[in-house]
Formats: sequence, structure tokens, C-alpha cells
Amino acid sequence: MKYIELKTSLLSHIKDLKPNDFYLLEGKLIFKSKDTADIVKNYLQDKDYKIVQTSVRNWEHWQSKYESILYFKDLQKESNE
Amino acid sequence: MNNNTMSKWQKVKTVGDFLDFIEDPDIDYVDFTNSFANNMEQSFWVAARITDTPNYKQLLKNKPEISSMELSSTTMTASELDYHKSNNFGNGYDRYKPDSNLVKIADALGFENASIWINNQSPGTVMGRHVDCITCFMHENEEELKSQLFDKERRQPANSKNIWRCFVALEDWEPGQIVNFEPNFWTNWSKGDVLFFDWRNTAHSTANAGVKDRPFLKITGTMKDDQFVLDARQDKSKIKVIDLND
Amino acid sequence: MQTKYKRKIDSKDLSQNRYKNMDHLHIHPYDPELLETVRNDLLKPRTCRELMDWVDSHPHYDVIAEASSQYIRGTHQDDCFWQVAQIDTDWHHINRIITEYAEEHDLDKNFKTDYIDEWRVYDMEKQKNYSPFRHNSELDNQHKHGFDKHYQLIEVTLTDRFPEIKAIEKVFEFEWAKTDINYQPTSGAFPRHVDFLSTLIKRAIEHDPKIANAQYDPITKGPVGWQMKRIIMPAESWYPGQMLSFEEHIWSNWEPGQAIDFSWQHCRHATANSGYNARPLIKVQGLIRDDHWLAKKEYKKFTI
Repeated sequence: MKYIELKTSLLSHIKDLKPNDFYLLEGKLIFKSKDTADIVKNYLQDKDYKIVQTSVRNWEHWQSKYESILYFKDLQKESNE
Repeated sequence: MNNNTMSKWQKVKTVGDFLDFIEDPDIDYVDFTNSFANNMEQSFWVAARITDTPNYKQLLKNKPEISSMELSSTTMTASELDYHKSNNFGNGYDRYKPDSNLVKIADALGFENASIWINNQSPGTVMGRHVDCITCFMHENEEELKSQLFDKERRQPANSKNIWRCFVALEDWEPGQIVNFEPNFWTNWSKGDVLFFDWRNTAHSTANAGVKDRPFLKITGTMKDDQFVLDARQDKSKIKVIDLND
Repeated sequence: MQTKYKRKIDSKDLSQNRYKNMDHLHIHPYDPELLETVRNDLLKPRTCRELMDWVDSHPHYDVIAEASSQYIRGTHQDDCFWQVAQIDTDWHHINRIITEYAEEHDLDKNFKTDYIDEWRVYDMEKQKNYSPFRHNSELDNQHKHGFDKHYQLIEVTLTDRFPEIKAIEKVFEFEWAKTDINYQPTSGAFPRHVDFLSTLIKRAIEHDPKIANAQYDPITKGPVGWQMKRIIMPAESWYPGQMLSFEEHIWSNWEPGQAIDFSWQHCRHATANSGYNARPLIKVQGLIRDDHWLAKKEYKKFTI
């Protein structure tokens, strides 16, 4: 699964989710709002993905503040990549 | 183990003898400890999770007790120092004293009179492969232990309960942080995970090829009740959750 | 720094140039919003030549590689790295010649990764130094984060020192093939990174208008219609303490000749040597078309 595919899919399936609600950081999805992260987490868990949610350490050199991180565990092997 | 090292090892009877033995510059300490690496016995497992690890970052602003690039006789024996020097290794981590909040973790886990240090491995630092001899614990309690008989099987004071060593992750894993407890690797840990390992038989090495610090709290000592550690070793789903605020 | 290869970068707008000012080097973890901006810009259509120009004059040069990764944590290990071939040959002999070369050139003693002219676009009679080429700001960024001993890079394709390893390169039938020995002395550590623009692509762009004018695919990181492959194979059995990570997965316990392919475009990978033996790894890179056996995901054994 690539980020671009995941993001496109999430944006098209989750109402009111916007492109600048979340970004990719070192393989994890980082959200500006925890509420939004919770919605995405529930959506992915309904699709049987194992999701880990953690808090965020915000750094001084970042432009924005973030509230939540999601990442996957144990994704299935992709068949034809 | 070479003959010289073997014959001196055979003469070790007490803890004091053992500490003298390992400090002897004529033994091959690295060879001696590597001889205990045992693929059939070695293992590591997460036995507990601390839910609210205290903030440690202020402590890293102090000068470390031992710096990662240093070769220190506090953490290494004489022949070990030579080996490390010839392979361009330093101490492998910055060592800091913990504060009372971090010491609470050891208490909460049930350690008694433990040796507790913060091992912070900063980016670019590599810790040479080795098998432990928990010398820091024995040196820190030398007066009390030196005349006691030494158990060569457990490589610790004979009269003592099993001595355990664990690492508490003070931050989440980051890409590039590599921790090898042979033959496997500990990876993708979460902040608060408490890893125990069979220090007697497990060769290990670490490297921080990531870009952020990798701080662990290292705790060594006996435990009031180590049953949860033994249970988790058998069943990796049995992780004891500890809230320090309880 | 003048090199044979250097294009006229000075003529571009350097008002946002990060090359010389250490204060502008980005600190990890990089700003997620900046990464997204750079990533989205990277996805815009360009030819390979245009992509190189975009990279060379980018104000945030040192974050481009990280931004280019599409990796999702949790990805299965087999999607990060996988064995594609087994090369059976006289590995004892190959190890011996690598070791002799390393001793001759003091590669273990003189181990410090520093600036270097980018000479590898052209054939060389003799290799003069062993630091892998890094653009200044990339190397400065790595130094700033504590990495000053990465690995020693021994050239194979562009010199005549290792005909035995050139023979290994040939079995892969790559176009624009480029082979190196990645020799990591004890205590080396190369920080986690995502591969981006390699020497072979630069050579291809500089010498072949067909490649230069081809559209660049930012997901496969190569010219459209081609795939760039990076095959790594150990020259010696694994020793405890030698580390090679691909995100949260680690490769270890290897045997010589085990050729693996990996998702170099997106997986952060890192190496370290906390053991007591230097680690020689052969890296064979090149371009293939869709009918190549690697593109068809075949596994092959070769005896040389």
C-alpha cells in the first residue's frame, strides 16, 4: 500500500476529511485533530486493519500542531508489487 | 575460551575472585563472554508495560556520567577496552543517573536494590556486540557481595535470588534504531515497553542509525516476585500493565 | 567544488540555497507539512532531465529523499525486501581480494565519510577516495545528526580492479549497470534514508537523450517504461553485530551470493556494524524493461 493510494481512498470514503487534515511522517499518519484521527481509525478498523494510535510530540520547527498519530500493524503481503 | 582464560576462570570461587578475574588484562574477556552465547537458550520478551513513563528529557541536558564515545573502565574491563578500541567502538551509549521518578519504575516492577541507569543511544552511535556479566551490579554492591560464593552457572552471587536485567523503552521506536538480541531483533517497540532478556546467554548489540535519541532505562537486580516475568516468557501475550500513579 | 559532472547550478536562483548555510539544514523529524508540499511537487509531471534540475536547485534539497517515500509502516517484510537470485561462485576468493584491497588502502583505519567530487559519471583509471558521493547538504545533514563514519565505497564498474565482480554484474543484464562494493568497517553506521537519485540515473541522463527526455515516474523513481533495480548481495557470511534494516524489518543471517531486491524507492533503510568483522556488500544497479526476468518476478540461480 502506498501513501498516495491510501490518502486518495480515505479522502474519497470519509465524509468531510480534507487533504490537509493529515500527512505522512516516517510511515505514520499524523493528524491535526484527534477527533479526525479517531474517525479514520474507526473506518480502518471496520475494514479489519490493525491500527495503533499514539499521541504526538510536537517539535518547535514544525509549522503546525498535531494531536494524534495512526499507524498500521501487520499488513498483508501485497501480491503483485 | 583460550587456555589462559580457562585456567584462571576455573580458580574463581567468590564474587571478589570473579571481579578480579574479569579485570585481569591478560584474559580475553570478549572471548570469555562470547563463549556463553547460546542460540538454544537466548531470548528476549516484553513482560510489562508502563503506561505513563515519567519525563526524562531534562536529565539528558546534564553531562553524561559516561559518554558514548568514551572508553570507560566503569562499564568495560581492561581487555574489553582494548578490543573496543581496536574496532573503533566507544561506550555505545551515554549513561545518565535517573531521578526519583524513574527509580519508581524499578520499584513498580518489583526490583530490590537495583542498579538503575539511563542508557541513551544518540544517532550515529554503535554498541559493540557482547554478552553481559552484570558487572555494574556487582561492582556497585561489591562490599556486600565480594566474599560470597560465585555461582558459575548463573554467573552471579550464589546466595542471591536470580538477578534480572531489563530495559524500559522511554520513547517509541523510530526507523533506524536497531536492537539485536541474537538471533532476533527488538523493533517497533512502544514507549513504556519493558523488555527482559536472558542476559546470561544472549549476545546482543545495538546501533542507532536513526535520527533521534534512543533512551532506555536499564535496571539490574533481584525481584520481590518475578513470576510475571517468567509467565510472560512462556506466554508473550501475558504482559503486566503498570500504572505508576497507582 | 568543480567536478567533471557539475552542471551550471550557479546560474539558477540560489537565494533559497541551503547548500552552504548550515542553519538552514532541516532537522529531523522533518515538518510533515513541508514533506507533503515537497511530495506533491515531486508528483508533478517532468522529464528525467527536468527532475534532475528540480532536485539540484530545490531550496529544501535535504528533505526531498524523505518526502519521496510513500512507505506505510506495518508493510509486510516481503514487500520491503526479497531474494531474487543466488550467485554461486568462488566467494572465498572474492572475499580475499576485497580484504586485500581494503588492507592496501587502509579502509578500516582511514574511515571517515567526507565530501567528495562526484567523479563516478566518468570511467576512472584509479579510485582516489572511498566516501560515497553525497550532495553537500545531504552529507552536512547527516553529520549534523551524528553520522560521520558511514561505509567505504569501492568502485567496480568504472575501474578494472575487480573483473570477478564485473562478471557477477553481467548476469543481471542491466542497462546502465553500476556496481560497487559497500564495505562497512566495524563501528560504521549509515543513517536511515530513502534512496533517491542515483549515480547510474545521472549517468544515463547525461549520456542518453532517450532517458533524459523520458517522463520521470516519481513512484518507481525512474524513467517511464523502465525500472531501476538495486540488487544487494553479501560477499561474506553474516557475522553477529552486522545490521541491515528496512524500516521495522531487519535482514540478518545472510550467506554470500544471496541477491536481494528491495523497495529502495520507499523503504527507509539503514546499516550499522556493531560486530568485529568488516561487512562487504556488493551492490549491482541498473535499468531493466518489463520483459526482464526481474520485472517478471522470477528467481534465478547462477553459477559463475
